[in-house]
Amino acid sequence: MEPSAPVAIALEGLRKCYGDLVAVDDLRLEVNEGEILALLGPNGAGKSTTLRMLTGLTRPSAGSATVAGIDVCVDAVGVRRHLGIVPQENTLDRELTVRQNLEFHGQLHRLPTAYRRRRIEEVLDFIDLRHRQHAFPSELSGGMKRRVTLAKALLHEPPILFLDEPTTGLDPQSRRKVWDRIMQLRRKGLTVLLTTHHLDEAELLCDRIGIIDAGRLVALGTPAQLRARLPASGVLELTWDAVAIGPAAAARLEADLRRLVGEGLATELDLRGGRARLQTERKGELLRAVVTQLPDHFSGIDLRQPRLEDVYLHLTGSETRD
Amino acid sequence: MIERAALPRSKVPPWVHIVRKELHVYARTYYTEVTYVILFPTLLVLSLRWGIGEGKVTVAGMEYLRFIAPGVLLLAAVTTAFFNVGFIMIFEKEYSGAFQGILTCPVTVTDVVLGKVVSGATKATINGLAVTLLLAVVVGFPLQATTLLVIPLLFVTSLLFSAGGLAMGVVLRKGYQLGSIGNLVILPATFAGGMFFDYHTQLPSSLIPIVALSPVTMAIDGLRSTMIGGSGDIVLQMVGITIAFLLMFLLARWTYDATLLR
Ligand SMILES: Nc1ncnc2c1ncn2[C@@H]1O[C@H](COP(=O)(O)OP(=O)(O)OP(=O)(O)O)[C@@H](O)[C@H]1O
Ligand SMILES: [Mg+2]
Repeated sequence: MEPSAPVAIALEGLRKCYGDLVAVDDLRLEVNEGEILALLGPNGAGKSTTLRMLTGLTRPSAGSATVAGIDVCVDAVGVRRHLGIVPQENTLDRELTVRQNLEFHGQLHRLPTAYRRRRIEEVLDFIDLRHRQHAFPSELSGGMKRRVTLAKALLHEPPILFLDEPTTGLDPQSRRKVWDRIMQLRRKGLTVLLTTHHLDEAELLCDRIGIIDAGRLVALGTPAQLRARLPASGVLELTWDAVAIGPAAAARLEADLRRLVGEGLATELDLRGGRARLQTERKGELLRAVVTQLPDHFSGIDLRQPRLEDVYLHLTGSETRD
Repeated sequence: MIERAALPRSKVPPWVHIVRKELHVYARTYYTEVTYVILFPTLLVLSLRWGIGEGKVTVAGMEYLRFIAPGVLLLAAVTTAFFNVGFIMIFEKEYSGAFQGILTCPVTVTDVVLGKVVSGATKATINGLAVTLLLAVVVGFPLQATTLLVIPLLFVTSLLFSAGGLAMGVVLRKGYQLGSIGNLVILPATFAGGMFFDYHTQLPSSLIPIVALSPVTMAIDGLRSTMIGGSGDIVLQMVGITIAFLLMFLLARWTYDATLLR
């Protein structure tokens, strides 16, 4: 991504409050043309709210945003002309078939008839659902519905795509299919802002990743830049059978692990029923200490490089956020 | 940025397509819908005839069943308008998500409100015509050229109630809430509007100006003069109902703006 690429999406201090709750807090971010950027963050972090503000579906409480050079607060309808949107929830019309859903969508976009017809054929092929074009949404699987929603978003050939969790609920094959499609679009030069809970997906598809927590952007960069933010150079993962060794031994084990952190062998310890994840800058010493000083309760010992997931957990914590 | 070849945009505004889509869905269930809509008027008229007999009671110089026929017709039409638009709105917004799907397109608030309201009024008018035919047979009033005036009268009044149904559908989140509110407004308005009695002569004089200003009263009066004959300036009545509709349209737009984009 050359730094001089023009900006497709710009968020300037975007904020959204629902009563006392600050869902999105002073978000500043630029997405360049042709770039794929993923927003990651725990449930309730404010990802969907951000996308809804950028598409003019809800008004920001403060700040502003431009998409395709248009201020979303001034001309939401104009903005949406340039956008393909895949919302988090299913939004297909249950009274219309797949084809009719596409037809209706094209009509609302005011596409001329001949162009609309041609594009419907093209997107039906693109999502491999030509054979189900006369089915109603209730007759499709969840993954198929997701693909139809993607087809709708692409129908009018928008230069910018907003995808809110495009692969949630899909099986590995369908996820791969959607990834394939997104990569094809990227080659065509589309700008994509997507949200996801799959770190592998973000790493595979995206040029840059923004991590949001409690409405704030806590990190932004390429996957490599984010990995470099982790203070540790290694991660040690330990697993044991907490039931088999009994509560007393498990408690002793956890105390021992905390002691290793106290001694400075590890910088962060994340403990969860029969599993520990230790971040460390002293890989060798930590491993030796674990093997020689701790009782042999472990069913797995895995020393590895930090992954994006470690950065994510480091930045957003390991507690659920609801 | 990739530029697609500048496309000429279709001249047909989005609200027209919303109307077409609604009517397409309505056409699929037309027969069930119409059967349901004529059921209540049929039962009402037949049981009244049973109770009071034929030609024994007159109001304002008209045979009683004929006198009430316009009110029965209006009730059927506005009930369709209000509940059809209101229920569809709640369903698409709270359950199916189709409404959010429409909002991902470049459509204005006016497009959506107009599309929903015009389609609701069209369905209500079509249902109303079925009821008109039924009443012509059962109650016996002449079908003549002027009977066609029933169409614009039903249509504007249904626009008013569609807009009301839309405003409620936007605000409410559950279908049953719509039921209570609809009945709270529609039944009193049609009863007070002279469905069952001649408000000119049978109401206390202090109430007459209030009742006469109600668009429902104007509609019943207008229908009565076109269907059976009677006094009243139908143009004035249409103007009055249209003004009420425009106010309700603005209210529907405002509730949409104030609640859904919050
Ligand atoms: N219409 C609303 N009214 C009140 N609160 C809302 C509304 N929409 C969202 N919120 C709140 O705003 C916060 C952010 O929600 P949002 O849907 O943006 O999260 P998210 O990051 O998309 O989460 P998820 O990963 O679960 O989809 C949450 O606390 C949510 O409860
Ligand atoms: Mg979300």
